[in-house]
Amino acid sequence: MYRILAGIFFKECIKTRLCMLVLTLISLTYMAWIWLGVHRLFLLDHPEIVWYRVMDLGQIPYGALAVLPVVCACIFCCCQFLPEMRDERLRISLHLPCGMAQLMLAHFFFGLLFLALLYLLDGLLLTLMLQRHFPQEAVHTAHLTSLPWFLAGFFAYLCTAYAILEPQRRSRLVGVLLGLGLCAPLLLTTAPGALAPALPWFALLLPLLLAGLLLPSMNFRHRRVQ
Amino acid sequence: MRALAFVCLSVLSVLVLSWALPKLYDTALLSPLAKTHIFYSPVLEQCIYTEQIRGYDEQAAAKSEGHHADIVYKDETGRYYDRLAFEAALPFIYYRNMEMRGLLPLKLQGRTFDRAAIEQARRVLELPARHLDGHHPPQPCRPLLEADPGQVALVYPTDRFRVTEQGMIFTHADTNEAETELSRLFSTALAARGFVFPARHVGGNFSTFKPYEGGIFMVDARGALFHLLRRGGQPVINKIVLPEGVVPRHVLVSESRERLWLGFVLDSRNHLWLIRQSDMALIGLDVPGYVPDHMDCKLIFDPLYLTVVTSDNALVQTTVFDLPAAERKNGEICRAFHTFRHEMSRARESWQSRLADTLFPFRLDFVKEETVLLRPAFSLSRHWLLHAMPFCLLLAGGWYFVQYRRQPGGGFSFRQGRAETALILLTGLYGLITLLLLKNEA
Repeated sequence: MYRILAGIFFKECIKTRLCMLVLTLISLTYMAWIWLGVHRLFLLDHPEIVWYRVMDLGQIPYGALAVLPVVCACIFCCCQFLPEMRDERLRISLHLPCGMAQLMLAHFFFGLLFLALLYLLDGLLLTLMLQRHFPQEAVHTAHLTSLPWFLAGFFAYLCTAYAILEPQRRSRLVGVLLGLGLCAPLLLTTAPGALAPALPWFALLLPLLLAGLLLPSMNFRHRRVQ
Repeated sequence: MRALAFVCLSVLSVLVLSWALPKLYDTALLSPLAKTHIFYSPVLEQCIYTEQIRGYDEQAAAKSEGHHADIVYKDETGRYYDRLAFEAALPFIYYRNMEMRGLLPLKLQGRTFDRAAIEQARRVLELPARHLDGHHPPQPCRPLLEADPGQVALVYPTDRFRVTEQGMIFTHADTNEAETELSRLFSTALAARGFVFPARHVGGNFSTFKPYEGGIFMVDARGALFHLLRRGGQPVINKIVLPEGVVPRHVLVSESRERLWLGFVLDSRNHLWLIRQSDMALIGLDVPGYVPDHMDCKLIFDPLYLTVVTSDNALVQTTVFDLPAAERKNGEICRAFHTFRHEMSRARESWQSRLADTLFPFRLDFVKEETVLLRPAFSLSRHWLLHAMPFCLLLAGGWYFVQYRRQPGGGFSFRQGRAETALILLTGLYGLITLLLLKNEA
């Protein structure tokens, strides 16, 4: 079993290595652009005024980061699963001698693992760029503000996978609606850190969605091939 | 495994729909109404208010002369007013319009008030519930303005402080590093006056848009209240003498030109205490029914009265006091001479709200007026038993019937049918849409 799962990880790694590299480069470039924006604030105004705007007025100089996790997640999911849908290649994997649930979960875990590493890198860069200019309270608030965006990225990945794997058009809509419904509250414009109390509740929904993704996988496996 | 996956997706779908559908419905049909604006009229000697209404009010439309017929002006006896009469009843609020119409100076209760006198006495202090600690993300790093900046305008300081167990720690904005000397100076001075670190609450008006710097108030770890002013770079500290049993919870500071009241203290028993600027004495206000965690509070000072307006989502209450006399002693409590409660128009039902209560048996919401923090909260339909439940029954019965008719000849699974019907019965439209989308025809 372990060998098969390791094989799946290896296969996914080979398949998506170019996509992973491109997404990492895009993330690094985007974070550099955000850093330029933050740095420019301190060139244009005195630091205490920038602190006032960010810490008292609630302006978010790194607000552009909100869309990055969701965009990266959607692109990576397409790169991971669309090639599997061509000529129904995923069926080959589904015939491996291990349970369908473990096999599909291994695919999803691989995607989630890559995204987690990518988001860790983004979070680390965000911390480094803010730590230099702002007191620790502002950095802590930035973590609480950006966590929902990263969580929205995980939801976007799983819901895109749902929409790709599901063979029936009507049911595919569930993936799209769930993606919109789960990501929208996390990407709402709110006061910095205001979503922090809701995050544990949202995190509880991740395993639920992961288990639910077995339904489109089963629909894919057991559908009639035209 | 299929059943487990189906249940997981159904739960998710119902959760998402119970947030999204009511939200879409409200956006399309049920726009939120602002809170009622209520005042005490020194002319009528009763409360008078203005509010937006849903639907049509014939008398309000007649008074509006066809313009903004959804805005109602009424007094506490239910008498309707037009806009001009409303403004005339509140000369201390609309004094600039009064002056323009040649109605100033004004004679009331044997006293004459011109524009300058009204401007001098008028001020508003507001404490919305969402400003209380625990109702917004914490912001422990604050600026301490210099009270004597050596120029007319106040200057924003280049450092900020936080009050930790170690003391009052200042951080300089240019270097983003702690200022050891300044931190030691303030921490030592505070400790010498009996301040026990850390601070439970720090209250102040951290802005330069005010006539002068009145300092900040800090509640120490034991519940004692201290006033701290930064003058010439040195700390000026006053320990406030608290009336018996008062433990401050929140301090609102608002400097104004009249320099009579510096703000007010909200204590742990939900009592309000005005802070007199001259001697830092606390003068109590007896406001019945005030629950700060769920209510917004507004203090309106005018040349004759002090009106306290408290309101939750549905009810607004005014409590009117004579202006506290300057010779009142620390800890004295003022009693109101007039109170009035009113159910706001936003709480009244309309066909839109009744339809929503029928369609949606419950809703998931994150936003609450009394807090900036977003937490998921379910609320049941206000007419769950009379409207939502029968509608759910209708949907569930219809679903069962259609499924039974579509699979005749023993193909119908009664167990599955019962489970699906139960889902619709419990969740109404949300469950129905979920099943319509998720159920695999194959």
